[in-house]
Amino acid sequence: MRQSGKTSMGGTKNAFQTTHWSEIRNARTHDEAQRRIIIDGLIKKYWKPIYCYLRRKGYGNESAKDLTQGFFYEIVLGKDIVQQADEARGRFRTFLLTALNHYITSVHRANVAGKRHPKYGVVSLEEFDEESMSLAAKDMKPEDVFTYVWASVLMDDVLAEVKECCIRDGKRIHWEVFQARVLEPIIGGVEPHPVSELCKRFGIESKAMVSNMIVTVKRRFQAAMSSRVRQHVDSDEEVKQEIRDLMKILSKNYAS
Amino acid sequence: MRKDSTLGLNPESLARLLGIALYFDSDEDKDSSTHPTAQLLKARLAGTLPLDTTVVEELPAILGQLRKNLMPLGGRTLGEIITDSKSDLGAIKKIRRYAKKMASRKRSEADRAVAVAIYYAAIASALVFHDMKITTHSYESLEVSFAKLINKPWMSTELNKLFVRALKLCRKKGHKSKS
Repeated sequence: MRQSGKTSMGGTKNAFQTTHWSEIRNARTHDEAQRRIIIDGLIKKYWKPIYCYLRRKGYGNESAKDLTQGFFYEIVLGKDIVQQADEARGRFRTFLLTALNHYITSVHRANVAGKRHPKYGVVSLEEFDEESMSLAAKDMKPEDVFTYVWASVLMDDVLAEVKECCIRDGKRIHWEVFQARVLEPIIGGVEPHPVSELCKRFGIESKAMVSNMIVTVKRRFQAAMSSRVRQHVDSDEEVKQEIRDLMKILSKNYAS
Repeated sequence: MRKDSTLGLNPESLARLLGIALYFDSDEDKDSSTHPTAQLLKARLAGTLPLDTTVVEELPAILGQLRKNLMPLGGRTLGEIITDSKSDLGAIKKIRRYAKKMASRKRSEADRAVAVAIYYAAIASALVFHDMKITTHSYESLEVSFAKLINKPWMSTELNKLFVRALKLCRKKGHKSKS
């Protein structure tokens, strides 16, 4: 049965930056205020894939929210996951999903059906358009939904960072050319704007300059993506493999 | 989908966006990397064979020869299977059938172009690595098709190399059959 997916989890921003093992380790501090800041930051960064995974598992909106927050407060901040994080080698994405599954099992085993609100009170999680997400991921397994949302949030962050960086450096036209030639055709499924039209629209002297502009933005895109993915893997070599794995999981969900 | 978010975007498009980061290095010197068909081809090659009707219809046969037929596909991307000389011929044939089915669907021009490229890449792979012609197309016809694909600005380097090798083989075999 379809349930309403409207939630105000996550605060007002759509930002979902990636993090590092060290961030979780930092949460071990005894300073309550500091812990609160760190845990709030972690929730903002990671709640979407976790919440969507739980929803696809069949949990209702409220239960999924409770479990999401319970997971962060009881497990991510708990001693066990910190120790595991100390020992773990590998992808943060898969580590988090495994820990979440253990948590769900333990909740069921203990038959704890009550609310899992933290002692600090419920953290406000942002308004989330689950309707459109559900449409895109309608045939996916829960694990793939987790990866899909993970990749989507990662992509949003990377695009936002690249755009901001282009504008800050006075390269707004670079960004707009990249958007017209690369992003819009992929996102909107439309034909790319002709280079000649872009030259005219933005007053660019030659077609070669358009290509150079795209290359410049792509470099920034690649750097931003690598930097964020690097925080979730053990080595530089694994960055590309992690991106390949994300693509592979997404690909198997569209190829049929 | 919210305008400022990719959440709600279909998984294919999301994979293609990720591909911008992954395949940029090798294409940096080529303007073709900006071509959306190039991105789509790369995303397709990075995908695995789906468990759709092309495979489901063959389940009885596959189950009978599970190891021989199914294991070679396990977790490997289409790109890996096509360009690996050790790939099982059965796996390559499955990719050819899958691509043919993909090409027949009414989708965008880019989708069709990518499907056709993968279709011919599977044929080229069988020719180059197994010395087998897994299609009824003549060598002459294949030669023309490979030549056309080689000239595509969005073609990946790996497939380009494969098509060049296959084209040479077709030329050789075509001449042989005439003489």
